[in-house]
Amino acid sequence: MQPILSVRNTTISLLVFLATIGMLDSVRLEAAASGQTQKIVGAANAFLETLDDTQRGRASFASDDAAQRVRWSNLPISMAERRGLRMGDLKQSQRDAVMKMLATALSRMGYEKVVGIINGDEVLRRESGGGSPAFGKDQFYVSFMGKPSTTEPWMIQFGGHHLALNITIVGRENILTPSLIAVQPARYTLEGKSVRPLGRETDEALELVKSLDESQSKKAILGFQMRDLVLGPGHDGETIEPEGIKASGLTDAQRELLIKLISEWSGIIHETAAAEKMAEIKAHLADTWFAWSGPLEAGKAYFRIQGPTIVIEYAPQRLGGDVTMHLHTMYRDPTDDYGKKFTGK
Amino acid sequence: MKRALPSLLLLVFASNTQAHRLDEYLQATRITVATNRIDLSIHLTPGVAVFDQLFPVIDRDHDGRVSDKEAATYARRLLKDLQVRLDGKPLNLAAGDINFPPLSDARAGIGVIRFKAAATIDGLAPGRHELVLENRHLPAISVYLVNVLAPKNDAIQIDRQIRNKNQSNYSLLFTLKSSK
Repeated sequence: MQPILSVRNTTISLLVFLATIGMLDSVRLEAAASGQTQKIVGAANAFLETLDDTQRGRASFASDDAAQRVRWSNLPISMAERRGLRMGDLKQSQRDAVMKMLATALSRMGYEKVVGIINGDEVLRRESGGGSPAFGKDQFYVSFMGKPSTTEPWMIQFGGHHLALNITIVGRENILTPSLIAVQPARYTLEGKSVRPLGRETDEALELVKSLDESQSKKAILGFQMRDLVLGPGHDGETIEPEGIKASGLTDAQRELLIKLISEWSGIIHETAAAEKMAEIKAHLADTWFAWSGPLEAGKAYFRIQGPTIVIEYAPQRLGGDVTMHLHTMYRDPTDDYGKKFTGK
Repeated sequence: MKRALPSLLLLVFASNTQAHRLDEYLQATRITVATNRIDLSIHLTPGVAVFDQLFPVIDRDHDGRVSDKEAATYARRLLKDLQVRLDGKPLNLAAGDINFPPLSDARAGIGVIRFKAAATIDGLAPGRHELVLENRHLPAISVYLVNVLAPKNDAIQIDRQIRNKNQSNYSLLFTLKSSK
């Protein structure tokens, strides 16, 4: 009897211990998420405090301003209007405060990607006939929908040509979808360093598609051309039927490649939110699809990743000559664009 | 207007070639399938370099603007160039709204013509069906995208989408589940 009781007691103790660890993890995650929201609110308020009343008025929109919500595009500001504060109209200290806010809301990888896209547009400005006013680091806008809050929904919008970050914050939830992540030129040299802001996405996707065997390729590689994004700007609320190969038809190693590829977008938001998003994506991984259209060459083909809570599209653009130098990508969550899962809007 | 267009195009072309659609007419179609109707939503985006080929097709009196009558005529032309069949039988598409962007946007390669069309279906029977869409609108300058939107009705299951290389021919296989 005694040994059995002892085993039972040990088992119960172990279960209690594991449950406690699990609860502690959950409490720790909760605290980290809430703490990150507080930091973002702090960074947003720190930026707002650098503004005068007129600037603050121009940067602020009602949380239910439907027109402002969708005022983002892949196009330069000369072709698609943005509202808010133009970076070129801010003092250096104010620009620094904007970038500090973004650095707080994004992961280090995400922040570096955003800076790489902005610097790419500056390179484009210099290379487009002596400095087109349509491009460049001054031509990015920052705005807020709603007031920074740890409890009420609000949104940071930051973007311009080839960039639209829509960061919705609802209490502890920090949501990055929908966001447009694009770049031109996709390769450039800055201060002697070679930069490819979307280089890992390009290379990892190619590695994944090249890892497919003949029967997998038959499913994944679409037999038709894809000239553009399907769910780019202006297509909120649309869900298309997925195509390609389901992750359930991939090997473990290929699924790891797919997860790594997805993390290039889901990991743009700060690490705590990214970890939660990735856990959700992994929970639906078997129902996540991968499709490819075009040659098996880096940066020359369209691809799409689509699952119940994620849509990623990558579309090289012919405009400008070399398609590998002009990339558009879109990151969406059909269940949670603009945080609709939590705001109900 | 017509005489001034080439030089204007060159100016736009030179300053904005990095940003917009250039030498093709993108026709992106979304199909919605319901038990009683098929809806098409088509976004047509002319590139800068093909605008002068497209615009005379729309602006038939060459006065440099698109009148309501010309818009309606272009909608009819689109309908004529779209062939839709359900289970081998042609569907009668009716034109819905057609909206033109500001001409300056269209010239710059960033304007989208939005066109809607729909066909009603009588008594879609449970079982497998095939919807075919052939888009023959201005093939020399066009590229196409076609996608079906996820049906709102759970009874409709999308089985497969088949397209030719440039997506001008599209076939959708779907099943209407029987209600038990």
